[in-house]
Amino acid sequence: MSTFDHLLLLGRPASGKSEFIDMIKKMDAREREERFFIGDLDEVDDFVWIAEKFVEDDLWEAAGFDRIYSNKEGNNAGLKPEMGKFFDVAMLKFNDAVGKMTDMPSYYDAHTLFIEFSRGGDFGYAHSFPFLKKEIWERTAILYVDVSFDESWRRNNARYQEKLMHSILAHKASDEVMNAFYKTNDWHELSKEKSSGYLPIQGFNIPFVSVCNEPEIVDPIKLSERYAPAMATLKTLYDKR
Amino acid sequence: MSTFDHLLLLGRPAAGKSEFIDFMKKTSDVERGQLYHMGAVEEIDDFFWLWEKFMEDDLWEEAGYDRIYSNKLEDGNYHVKHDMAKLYDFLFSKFNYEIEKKYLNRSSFYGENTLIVEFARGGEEGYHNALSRLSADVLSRAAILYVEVTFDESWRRNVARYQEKLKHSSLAHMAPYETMERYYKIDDWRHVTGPENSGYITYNDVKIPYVTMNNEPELKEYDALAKRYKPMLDALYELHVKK
Repeated sequence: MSTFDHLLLLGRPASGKSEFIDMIKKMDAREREERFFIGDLDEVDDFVWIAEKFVEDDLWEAAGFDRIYSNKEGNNAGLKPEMGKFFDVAMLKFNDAVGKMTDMPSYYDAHTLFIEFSRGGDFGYAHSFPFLKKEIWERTAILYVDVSFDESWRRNNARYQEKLMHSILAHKASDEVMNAFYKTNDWHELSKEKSSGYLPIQGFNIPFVSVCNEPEIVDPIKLSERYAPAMATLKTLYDKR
Repeated sequence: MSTFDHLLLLGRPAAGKSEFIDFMKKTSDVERGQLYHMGAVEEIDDFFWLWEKFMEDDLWEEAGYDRIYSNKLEDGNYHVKHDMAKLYDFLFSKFNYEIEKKYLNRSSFYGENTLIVEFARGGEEGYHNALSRLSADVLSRAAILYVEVTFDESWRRNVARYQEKLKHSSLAHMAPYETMERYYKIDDWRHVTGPENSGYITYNDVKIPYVTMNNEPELKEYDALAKRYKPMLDALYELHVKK
C-alpha cells in the first residue's frame, strides 16, 4: 500500500491538527495505511522552535535585558507582533530539519513525515510557502484543517482551561498572538474556496484537501469518519499529480 | 576516589582549554580519577550556543531580514555586532539554565562524572562579570582552572589552529583579529584573583577554589602535558577539599 511521503498539516491554532495526529498515532498500522495512506509517522512542528524563543527570552530577562522575540501574558508567551518575521525563519528551518530527518535510504518506503504549522495575517500561507525548498514540495500533499477564527479562539481557551486542571505550567496561544497572526487567514483565497484540488507551487501541482472541522468531534471513530473520505480524495489527487 | 563536580575551565581563545579536555578524554578512567581528580568528562561550552546564533542569523538573512546578533565577514568568519555584546551576558543565563536542567537535577551525575564548564571572557570586567552571573548552585560545586597565555600567544595559536583546520575543511573558522583584540586583549583574571596563582575567590556568597596555570610554552606531547597538569590539579583539589 503506498502512502504519502510528506503531509503538510495546516490550520489555525487549536483547529484540530494535534487531534488528527493523535488519532492517527492510536490507529493500528493497517487501518492507518489502508484508510489514511499514512506510513510510520514522523512529525516536525515549528512550534518547537518558537517555544525555544520563549525560553530564550526568559533567559534574556534573567540576564537583565529586554525580551527579543516574545511578550508574556502570565505563563503564556507569544511572538511579538513585530517578530512575525520569525515565522519566515521557521520556514527555512523546516528545510534543514526535513533534510536531516529523511536522510536515509528508503526513508519513504515506510514513513510519512507530517510537517505542521499555522500561518495567518501578514505571514499567511501564500507568503510562507515559497520559503520551503522544492525537495519538500515534490513529495507533499496538504491537509488543511478548517475552523473559523471564533472557533479557533474558543478551542484555544477551552484547551487551556483543561490543561490548567492538570498543570500550572499550562499555556495557550496568547490573545495578542491570536489577534495579530490568526484573525485573518488566506487559505480560502489561496484554495479558491475549493475543498480539494491542486495548488501550483514551485512548478509542482500540490494536491490539497480542506476539511471543515466544525462542530468539534471528540469521539475518535466519528473523527476518523470525518477525515477518511478527504484523505482518500487527497490520495487520488496525489497519485495523479 | 573523589573528583571535581564542576571544573570551570577558563582562558583566552586557543589558550589550551580544548587540549586539556582532549588530554582528559584520552586518559583512562582510573588515571584520570587518581592522578587528576577528574571523573568521566562531560563538557558544556558556550561557543556552541554562540555558533547557533551565527547560523540563525544566516537564516534571518536568507529570509530577507537583518541579522540580529552577528555580522558575517567576507572571509566567512563571524563576529558579534558591537551593540550585541550583551549576548555574552545572555550566555551565562544559558549556562545556569542548561546546567540546572541537565546536571544539577540529576544528583547521580556527580561522583563519577566531572562537568567541564568552558568559556573565555575578556575586557576590564570580563571574568568578574561572568562569575557574578553564574548561579550559586553552579558555583558551589565549582573549582576553577585558568589556562593562562598572553594575548599575543593566544592570537598566534588561534591562527595556527585555523591554518591546521583549513587543511582538512574549507568550512574552518576562526575568531577574526578584530574580535580577538576587542574582546580578549585585556583580560581581568589577575585582577579578579590578585597576584596569587592559587587560592579562593568569592562570588554570589560562594567560596571558589582556583588555580592559574601558565600554559606557555606550548606543549603537545602527552607526557609533557601530564607534568604540567598534575601539580595544578593536585593543588586545586587540595583547595577544593579544604574550602
